[in-house]
Amino acid sequence: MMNLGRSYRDCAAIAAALLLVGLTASPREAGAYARTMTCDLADPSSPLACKPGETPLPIAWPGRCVGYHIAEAGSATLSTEQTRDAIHAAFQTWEEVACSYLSFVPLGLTNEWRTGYDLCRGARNANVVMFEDAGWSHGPRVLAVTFVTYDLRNGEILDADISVNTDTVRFGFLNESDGRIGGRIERFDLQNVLTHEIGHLLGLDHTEPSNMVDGFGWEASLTTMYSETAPGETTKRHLHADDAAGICAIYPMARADAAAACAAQPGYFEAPGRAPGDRCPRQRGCAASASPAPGSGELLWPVLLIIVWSTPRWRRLQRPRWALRSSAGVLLAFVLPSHAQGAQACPTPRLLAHERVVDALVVEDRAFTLGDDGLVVAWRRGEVAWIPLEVRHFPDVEGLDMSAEGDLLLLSERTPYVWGLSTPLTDPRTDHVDLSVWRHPDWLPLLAAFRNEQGLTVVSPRGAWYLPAVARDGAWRPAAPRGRHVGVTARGAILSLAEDGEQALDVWTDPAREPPTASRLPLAPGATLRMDGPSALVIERGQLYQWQDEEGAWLSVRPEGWLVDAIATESSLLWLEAQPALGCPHMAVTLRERSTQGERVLAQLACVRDARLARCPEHDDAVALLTDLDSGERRACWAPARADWWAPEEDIPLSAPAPLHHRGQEYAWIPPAMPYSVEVSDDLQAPHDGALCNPVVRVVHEGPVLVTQDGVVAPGLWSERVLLDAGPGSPLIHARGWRAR
Amino acid sequence: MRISHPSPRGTAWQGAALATRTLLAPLAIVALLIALPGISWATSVQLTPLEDMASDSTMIVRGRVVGEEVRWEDGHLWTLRQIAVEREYREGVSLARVVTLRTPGGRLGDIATRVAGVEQARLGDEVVLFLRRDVAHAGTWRTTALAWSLFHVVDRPEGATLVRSLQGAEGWVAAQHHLQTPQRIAITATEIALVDFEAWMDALREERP
Repeated sequence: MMNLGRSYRDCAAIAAALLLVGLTASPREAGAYARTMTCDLADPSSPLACKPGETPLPIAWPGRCVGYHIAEAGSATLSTEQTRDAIHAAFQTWEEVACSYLSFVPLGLTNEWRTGYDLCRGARNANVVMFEDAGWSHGPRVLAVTFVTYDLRNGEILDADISVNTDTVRFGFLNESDGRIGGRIERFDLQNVLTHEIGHLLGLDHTEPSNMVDGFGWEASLTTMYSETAPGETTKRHLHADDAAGICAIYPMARADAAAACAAQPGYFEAPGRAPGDRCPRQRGCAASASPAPGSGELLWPVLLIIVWSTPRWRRLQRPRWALRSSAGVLLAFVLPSHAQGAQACPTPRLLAHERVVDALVVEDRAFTLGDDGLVVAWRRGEVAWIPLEVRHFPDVEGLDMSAEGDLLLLSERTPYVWGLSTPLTDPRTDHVDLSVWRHPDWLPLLAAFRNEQGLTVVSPRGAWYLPAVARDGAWRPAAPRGRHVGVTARGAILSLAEDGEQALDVWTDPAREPPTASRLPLAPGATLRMDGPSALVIERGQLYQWQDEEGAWLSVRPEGWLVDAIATESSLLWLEAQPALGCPHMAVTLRERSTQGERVLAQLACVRDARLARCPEHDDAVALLTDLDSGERRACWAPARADWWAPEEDIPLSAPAPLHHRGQEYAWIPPAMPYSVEVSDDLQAPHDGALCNPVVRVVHEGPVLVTQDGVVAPGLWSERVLLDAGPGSPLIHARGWRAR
Repeated sequence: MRISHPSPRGTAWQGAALATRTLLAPLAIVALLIALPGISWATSVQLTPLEDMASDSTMIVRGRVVGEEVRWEDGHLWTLRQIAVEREYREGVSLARVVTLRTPGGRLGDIATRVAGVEQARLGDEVVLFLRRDVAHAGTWRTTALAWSLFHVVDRPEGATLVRSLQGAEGWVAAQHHLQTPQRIAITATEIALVDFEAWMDALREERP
């Protein structure tokens, strides 16, 4: 077995002789080699499937000289010198084919540590051979991969990188004296693997045995471009006649420029924007570090709008009416750092209004930012950058939020503000943001505000007030009886316990009426209220009620078993039913979901001690199922819109439903789960105009999408809320966005 | 906790039939792999034995491709497919979920990136996948061994069948422990009856400590 490589070589020699016989005997060309095509015509399932009317073209390097760099980091598992020798030898193998004009130019070392093609670098992309000692993600049994990037219009290869799996695979070098690879028979010969990968780099696909001469199909396994290998194999170090035929078909010596000299000069390639060994945590599309290729015709158009007003002066001048008249460009600086021409345009707007952005909201083409300087800025999405519309100073504001109807709420523990926007957020015709500020001493803490054309409702635990739109003189009136408010729905309906001696829950929905009226729900003993979601749930043992904001009425659900717990998301209602189970000392639990799609069972738990539902902290509209709380807790999170279960990484805080039957109890307000920051690309902050920098370029889903924590676009109903965090150095830090309904 | 979910194919899993299948499925699969060489010459691969692939995988699922997109991230084109999971074999549970399968390569405007040996599937395809978490891209999954880890579920007169299409597949996948007895198997596709595969998965699961 240790002579596996030798036996392969022997076989190769015999096979080559047989192939020659076959070639002589048959008029057919022995063309088992396959050229990589720009698109797949035969396989519509391929990510590279040809579009209708598109003709596949073979890919190839445009010139005769192909340069390559070697990652200077190499691999800790391999001798540096032997590694570089193996790389050069593998390239040399392909260059020595007599009928091909191709030449390779070893350009030296590079600190480039990533494979891939940087659109903004253009010709400055290096072809790199590198080694991944850790974090190999292509599968533990995959030896190496080659990324070949090319122009679909003409098949010209733009960039090719080879990455070798030195993380989970042991490589070595053939010892000619004993035929072993590094003295170990279970290792893979690095040169063997690289010779194959370089074939891909040149535009060759895997050998197609079915294309071999009749009767010689088995011989395809002896070609370098055959897709199979084994430890100890060295066959692929040497090109088979079929491999040579393939390279000569792509780069035939007969070409006019075959004799042209290679002018490329060796030299260290330093990856732009990085020092040697510096691992950039992430780069998004065309990042600020990108620089245009010399002579590529790209232009750098930095545009700097100078800061006009300084913060002290601004603070001195800030008055509500003045603020209303302030215009775009005040106090703000903009940089459009790399607005380039053509397909590689990379608009990267930067927002420099704040030293540090504390909070931000993006609503369609409007954005609102809060800086640690107390400035709140309203923005409009421009062609290549955000344009400031309005700036206000609110020294006590600690965060931004948005009411369901589109009012901006300035959150503060000390000062109750409601900042109203009378201009429709989605109206592209105007840059004017009409602001109104309301405040009231009893609003501390401000639980919710709700505004529509009729007026403004604000709610605190101490009371609820309503200000009609026609009476902006400060004539507030009660929106609900002063007393035990226990919750506010997403649409501003106020829940309070009946004060007239009856055990009931009132929902005050129409504050414009005077006196206000309520819809009453009698409470059974043991009823509890859940208000940690977008709607109010009353949970009784045999009945579940969900408040329907749209209908202004309670939806009733009668479970088949004993109702254990319930929770609501924006799109569905979920509840747990328990029933006795044979052979189980505890209970069998079923998790059901009701949505516009109907009712379905999400999970059945055969035997659990207990089960609860909670808000999953990893997603602001996900539900966590918790079981066996006192004996080895099991947790799973469920996102209805994504139809996705996952194991949560964070602890899940349990917020017990508030009991409603105990008179005189203090009812704590359970705030809605706060959205948390997520990371997505910066493409949502700037229009794309077809620029290639847009990282999300094709979404096949029909209907709205959700951008999740990892930037994954998933189908769902949550397009109303898009969470943004563009990461360090990006324009907006920690932004949350809502799309208008 | 054992979570179960009614399965349209649930009857095949029960009673004596299940026991029989549990015993016979590994034999059937081995027999299949032995019998296939010599069927035809086409794209040929060295199979990573399914046992190895299973042990390398964090999750083995059957589901349907419900979404697809192409992104440019970190200098790479990626194809992301959303798989609506109908069954997870490794833990033997049925939890409705959608996982995102990340595949290197794709086309964007006038530029394309091709990566050797990647798995391929269309919107609407029903597939069985051997998956690992993508440590570099939280929340997404990669196949354990590129195209070798994706089977299409094909309806045949004799029943649902898993078909692993390796036509045109590229890449280097090797089973290192097969060094002593290297198995070179030339096949156009690996086909396994779904019920046999599921019974085999059950057997593997029960063998685990």
